[in-house]
Amino acid sequence: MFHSPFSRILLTLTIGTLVVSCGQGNGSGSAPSPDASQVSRSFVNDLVLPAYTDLAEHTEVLQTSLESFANEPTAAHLATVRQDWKKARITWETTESWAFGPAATLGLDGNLDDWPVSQLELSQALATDNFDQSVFDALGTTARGFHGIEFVLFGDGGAMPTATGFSSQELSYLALAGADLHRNADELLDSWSGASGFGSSLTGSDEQAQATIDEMLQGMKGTLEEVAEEKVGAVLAEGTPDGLESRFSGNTSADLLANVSGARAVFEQTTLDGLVEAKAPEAAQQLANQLDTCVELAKALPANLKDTLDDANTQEAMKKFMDAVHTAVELTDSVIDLIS
Amino acid sequence: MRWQWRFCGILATAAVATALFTTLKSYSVQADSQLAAGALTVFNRTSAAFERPAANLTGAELDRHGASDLLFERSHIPEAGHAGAGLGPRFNANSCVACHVRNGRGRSVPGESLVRVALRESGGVDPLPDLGHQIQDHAVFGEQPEATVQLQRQEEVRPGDPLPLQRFQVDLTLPNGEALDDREVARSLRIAPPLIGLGMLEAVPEQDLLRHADPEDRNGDGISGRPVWIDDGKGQRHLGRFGWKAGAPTVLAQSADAYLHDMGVTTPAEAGSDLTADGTLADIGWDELNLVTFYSQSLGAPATGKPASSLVVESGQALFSDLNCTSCHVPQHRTSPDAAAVVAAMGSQTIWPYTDLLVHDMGPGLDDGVAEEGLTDTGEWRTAPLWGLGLTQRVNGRVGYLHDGRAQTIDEAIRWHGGEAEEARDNYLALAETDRARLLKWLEQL
Repeated sequence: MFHSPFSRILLTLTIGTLVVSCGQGNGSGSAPSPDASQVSRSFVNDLVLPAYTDLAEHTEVLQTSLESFANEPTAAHLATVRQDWKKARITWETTESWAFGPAATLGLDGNLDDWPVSQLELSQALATDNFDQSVFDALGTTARGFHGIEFVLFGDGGAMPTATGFSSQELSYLALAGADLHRNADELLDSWSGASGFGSSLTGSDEQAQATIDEMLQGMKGTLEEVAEEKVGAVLAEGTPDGLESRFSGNTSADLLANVSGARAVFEQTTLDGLVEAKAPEAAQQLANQLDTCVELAKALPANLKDTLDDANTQEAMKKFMDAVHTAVELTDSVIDLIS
Repeated sequence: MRWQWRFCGILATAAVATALFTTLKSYSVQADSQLAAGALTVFNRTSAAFERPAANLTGAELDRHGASDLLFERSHIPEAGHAGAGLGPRFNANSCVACHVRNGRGRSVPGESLVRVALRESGGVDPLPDLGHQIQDHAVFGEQPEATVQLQRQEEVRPGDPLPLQRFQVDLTLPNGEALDDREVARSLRIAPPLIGLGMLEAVPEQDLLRHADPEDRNGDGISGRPVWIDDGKGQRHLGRFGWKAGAPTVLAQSADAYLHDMGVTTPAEAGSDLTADGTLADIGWDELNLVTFYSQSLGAPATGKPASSLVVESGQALFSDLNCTSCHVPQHRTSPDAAAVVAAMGSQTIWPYTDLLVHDMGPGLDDGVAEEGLTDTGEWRTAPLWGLGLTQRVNGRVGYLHDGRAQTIDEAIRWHGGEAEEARDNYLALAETDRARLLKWLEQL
């Protein structure tokens, strides 16, 4: 909606006017607005660390259920492990807005979530007689992580395999891939934790705290851009479900909802909204409203996008969602311009 | 009447003064070193600083940049018929961003770096039989990597410097377990350099860069500055500008080289063709290669942390000049008006990359024993651009300077300078502690 530079200027001017007219809104009697140090501490302690702790726990649960299924491939275990995969997956996708730290710089994002799946390599590996750790180690990141497990667990998008349809190699792969996934999630949590962790580096001096605010907004923007342009826009442009991330499990819509929910959490669960509100109340409200709209439109997406991508209603819902996320990007940009 | 003439005279004088002031102001704005990339400067000093598109792109250019970003981040896989096909069979990384992490420096670890090799008996010129000039230490499933790479830090005391420095020992082992003998095979670890501002470096006119060249050191200042000439195979030679040893004349050539040697993905030999130079069908099309090239060309460079008028900048720039660092790290250049054909706002911009894009002998401490196209002296390196230098820690979460990431601080990187830069290094070491700190503070805000 606000793609052209002119539209962006108009939007910025509008918000700028609102800042000028509403800048005195935090009058006496209202709660004091949070400062950058409070926001940065809240971001690390109330959002990121709990989320990565959840990720470590959920991937541990997934690892255990994968091992159980590998040892005893029953329908009940299969149902549990598929459920556990989705739970861990949503936890991970919620964290995309703060993947600017060690997730990117230590390569953990790629280890956990590379895409697309190298189906050829995975199929070749699963055809080896004895699938063991050395075979698993020869696989690259596009044959591991969430999507490697997803491809084996849910099948290639056609009829999902039943519990008795898994080969011994596939069962071995799932157990090893579950352990690898959990190991990477643990490393991610460790890298943020403790006095020497990345989280501590974000909450030091006032100058650092202000830099963290900038990182938070850039992280939100990056995720929203990826959702609008890559995860939805590119798929709509190509018109095929091949690019839909998590399409094997039919979890694409849940991924998208988690992405925009994570971006909203950065703004609303860290008191960042309060900090912005003190400087630009209307801009803060506009962004909060737009993030709510994105979340609601993500909830309204068909549960299984890959099977309904040809449907005009699905395409309309995706486009509406994409446009809303684009607007959220523009509003985030305007907030960055105002408070950075 | 006389009063009227006098009034007109005052008006005219005021108009001239205003015009002069405006001109001077506009000149000073153009020459503002804080605007590292001129009109394309990105005002963002977060960890996303190197990922943002250049400022002042048109709507169409922004859309094109967005589309190219998807390709740059795409993970490649081996199977044909899929988006991102063509990986391998041997490679160093499966995507551009795997090494260009957040468009910043790569880490000195396998999977984010690579090793160039050459036979020592040929003076570092000839490739290794069967392995070529680059070790591809990863392979698609079912294939063997060319070799495994192990890195160890080693301490070294440099002449004239009391502080021990660290360098990497690179061990290469073939799949059969045989180690490549260091006495026979020279090896050079390389990390990815920051990706910013490439379009603007490409847009500096060749003759402007050649003005800084003095290959025979005719002025006797001990600094040569040699252009690297790359033969395009069609009877033309072009000035090498990109890569640690200036082996690529254009962003397109550098991109194609990285596709082929780093990812094992083949590209078309020329526009309008789907075929590689050896006549086989390329893994990716010309449009995709062009689009990825545009991604690099349309990245900006970040504004420096301090304004040009600040004491930090004034004293830092003065020290940098006094030490004669500017002989190679040439502060500013002007882009060609023709650059507007690539990105509309790129033409005729004053930029501050701090490089001459020429190669210089950097002495035995940095001599890696590996020559590249257009080079015979294995100790020659292209002057690394310095823009964005101070954002290394923020963008990549750790620092590792020079071609292999051996230097863990800017101070260490300077201490490794030798050869043509030895006198500058000695002068740096001779600086009072406070002056050294002032210089480093300036470098850290670039």
